[in-house]
Amino acid sequence: MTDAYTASYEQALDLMHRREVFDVTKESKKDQDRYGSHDFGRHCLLARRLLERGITFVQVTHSNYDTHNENFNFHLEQLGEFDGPFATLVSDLASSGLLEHTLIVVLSEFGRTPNINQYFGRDHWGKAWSVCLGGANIQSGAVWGATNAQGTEVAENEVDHGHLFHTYLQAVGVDTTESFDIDGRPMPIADPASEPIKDLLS
Amino acid sequence: MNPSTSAATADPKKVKVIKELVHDSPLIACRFDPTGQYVIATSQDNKVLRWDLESGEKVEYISHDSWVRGIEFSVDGKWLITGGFDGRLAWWDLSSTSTEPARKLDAHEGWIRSCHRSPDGQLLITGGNDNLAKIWNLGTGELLHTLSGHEKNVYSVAFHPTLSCVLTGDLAGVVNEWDWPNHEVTRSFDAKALHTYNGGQRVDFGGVRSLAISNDEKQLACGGLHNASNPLGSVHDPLIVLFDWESQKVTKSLIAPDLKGGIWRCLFHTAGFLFGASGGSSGGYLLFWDMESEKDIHRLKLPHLARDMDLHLDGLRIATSHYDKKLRICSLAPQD
Repeated sequence: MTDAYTASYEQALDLMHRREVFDVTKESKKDQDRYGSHDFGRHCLLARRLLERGITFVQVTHSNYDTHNENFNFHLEQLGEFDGPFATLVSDLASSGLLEHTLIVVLSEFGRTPNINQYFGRDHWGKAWSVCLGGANIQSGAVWGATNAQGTEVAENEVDHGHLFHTYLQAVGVDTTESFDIDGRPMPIADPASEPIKDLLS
Repeated sequence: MNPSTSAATADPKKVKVIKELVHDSPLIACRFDPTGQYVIATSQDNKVLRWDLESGEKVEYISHDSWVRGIEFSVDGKWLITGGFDGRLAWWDLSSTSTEPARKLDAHEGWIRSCHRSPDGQLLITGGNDNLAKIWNLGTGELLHTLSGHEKNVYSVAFHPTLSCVLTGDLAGVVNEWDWPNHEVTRSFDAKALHTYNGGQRVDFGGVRSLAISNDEKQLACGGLHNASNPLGSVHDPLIVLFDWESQKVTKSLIAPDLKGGIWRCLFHTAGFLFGASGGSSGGYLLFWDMESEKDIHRLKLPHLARDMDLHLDGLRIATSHYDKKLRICSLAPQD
């Protein structure tokens, strides 16, 4: 228990020693303007800053897509905010060469109903939705799987989180057949019963 | 009975559904045509529908690539003009058998949310998601003026019935009065009570969804919603903000206690009351106010959410468009 506390505090201390990597105001005024002043814009610029400094995993959150009401009004707001900074981040990573070994994943925990409800909204839909991948060893323009014409069900090449986990990790060069070692107990890195989506990997 | 005589007999407390017209897709907007023969509705399958009120015959007009919110007519009812979320305006000749648009043009970048004809029938104003209002020659389709200045999407537009000005209302609750013919903002009404910014959900919500000027031109009604505690979940209350036209002061905030929803459209009736169509988590309602009380004096629960509403020129029939694919006609006639 003491070792765990000590490790946590030491990790926190390491972070504090490198606090400047989180200081997005050190980026140029021009870049701050390009990414925008709202949270998502600043967080995308921070993501670039972290990746440029060797941070290996960065998560950026953009929320409030839970649009049971007036889906289209709110998505105009949300996607309007998302589009610019996200495109700027991808573009910057491509220009600097970082995109060649950086995997970008855009996902949500579930989809929205193909049908529009009575409030012009969309409700939760867990039967079929999409994940967008790019960079690293992902093939540009590749599409895997399809829904039926109504978007209600997966019609071909259904995959789940197990396939995606293998795909993410193999795209960045991790051998997903290996295991972690946790106190002498081997834990598979990814589900041994699953496999990557090979058609997406270059 | 002529329209003004029949309208005077309208009794909100007698309101009831008398007819249902059915489509095969949920309905969005609706308007009666100026001749009183037809009711026009739009639907989620991107169609514009014309029902003959007597026979019930339905004609479908297909051209827009998206939903349609804006519906207007030439004064004589020959031309139907529709404004869609595809940013396009379309002119349809209701006097012909053709269901093809006679004219179609790109009008706004993004949705057209509202259309209104000038009192003399010469002009059309449109408002949309490019934060602009535009004034068109209704007969030729020529763009005459672009009204720029709103910082949020323009939700509603209206010509004043007699003065040389137009009104535009936006998502933020700003209502601008633009003078004619200088096209400059001369006054702004503060209807921010109709706007909510929810910090938790980080969304702007509400907006001026309806503009109506009273028959004596002394009052401006702005319809929409407030108390939006959960915009993404449709938790909000209907509200009409009533302004004194001259002083621009809010004279009343018209509410419907214990009812969750929002006003999609409100209108002044020549019989002296104001009414609105509400849709929301409490369902669909026609709400009536007597201009004395801030609380509604009567309400009709509709079988389903109302998304738009219009008053027939006889002053006795109200059309409402609904998600359950039905257009409902209600009667305000004093007797069966």
